[in-house]
Amino acid sequence: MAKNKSSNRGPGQRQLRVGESIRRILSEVFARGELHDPELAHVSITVGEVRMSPDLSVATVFVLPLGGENAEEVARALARNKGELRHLVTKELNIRFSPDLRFLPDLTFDQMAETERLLNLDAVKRDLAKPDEPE
Amino acid sequence: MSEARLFVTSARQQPLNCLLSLKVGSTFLRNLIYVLDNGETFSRVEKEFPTGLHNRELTAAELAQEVSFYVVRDPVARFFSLYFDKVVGKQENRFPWIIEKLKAHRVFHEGVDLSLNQHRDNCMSLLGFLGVRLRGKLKNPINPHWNKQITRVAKGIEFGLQPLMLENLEPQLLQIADGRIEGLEQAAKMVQSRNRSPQPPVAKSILTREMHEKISALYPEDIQLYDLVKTGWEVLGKPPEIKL
Repeated sequence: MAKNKSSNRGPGQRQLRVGESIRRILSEVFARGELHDPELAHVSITVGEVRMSPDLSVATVFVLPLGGENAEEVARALARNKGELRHLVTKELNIRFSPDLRFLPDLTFDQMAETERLLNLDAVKRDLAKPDEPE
Repeated sequence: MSEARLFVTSARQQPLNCLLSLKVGSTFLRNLIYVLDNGETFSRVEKEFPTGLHNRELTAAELAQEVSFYVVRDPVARFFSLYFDKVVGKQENRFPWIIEKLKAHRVFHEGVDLSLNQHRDNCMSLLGFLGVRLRGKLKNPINPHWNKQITRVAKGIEFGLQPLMLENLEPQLLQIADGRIEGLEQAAKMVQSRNRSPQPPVAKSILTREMHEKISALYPEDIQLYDLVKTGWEVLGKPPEIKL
């Protein structure tokens, strides 16, 4: 879901595979409610994307609370718990290395800007001129 | 101060309550409740449910004691349901005024044998049409056929209703009912045979990456909500607790 710019060359197959595995593991950890941070107790979190560095040492995790509010705070709270999350990910992933987890807000909501752009099109302005009819 | 209450649709003699959302299995659920109440399916000829729907206003505690739920649907599937039902569907189900708008201001191909690309043009037109309305730029309230699911179910989340998925509705409903709704399985079978309007096979082929991104941009919270409910059911094998 994240729309953040990537580097010049696209990620390799292994980066994509490991990133998706971490995304799935973290989604399941959140679904099971395995974190006990009070700041995360009242929020449902989705993981839009996990982007791996080329050497797989860093996983950038794009997260968003349901509804999109307080995304920065949630990312910070997850960063506070990254030791525990890293342990859970490494255990589930069954790999020798242990990627560092960095949490950032997912920018999916920025896609709404594209819709805003649509509003400036002439077709849309004409469409808005008359109200909708009841079905 | 009186305790907060949620307006739900309920069976008359059974402890079953649901929050209905259009294009998210609402016809199936209304039919199911009708069968539970009357022991038979209602006549299409009459069009309206003879006894109407039974609505109640219940507190969170009352809802928790009964089988109380809402349903979520994959926003992509819901969009195609809208398109194939209200835009290019059977004449009696269509919203002609949408077609007029699309023809006048955007692109719309008509016909019974449209190509994939013609369907794609129509879908992108419809998404543009929905984009304007979902931004709330019109005076009319947002039509519930394309309103965001999250706006409808937010109260249900607040009141602790259990989330179910449309694609697994019957088994999930039977699971949470846990034998508390007499005749539920039989009622679901009775409704099933008469209330399925599957999307044509062409639906999956129509979807493009651009279209998927547009749907995600229009319904980001619904994408999130669906992901949370789906993952929750897969991981826990029961309805997850959704927090908003």
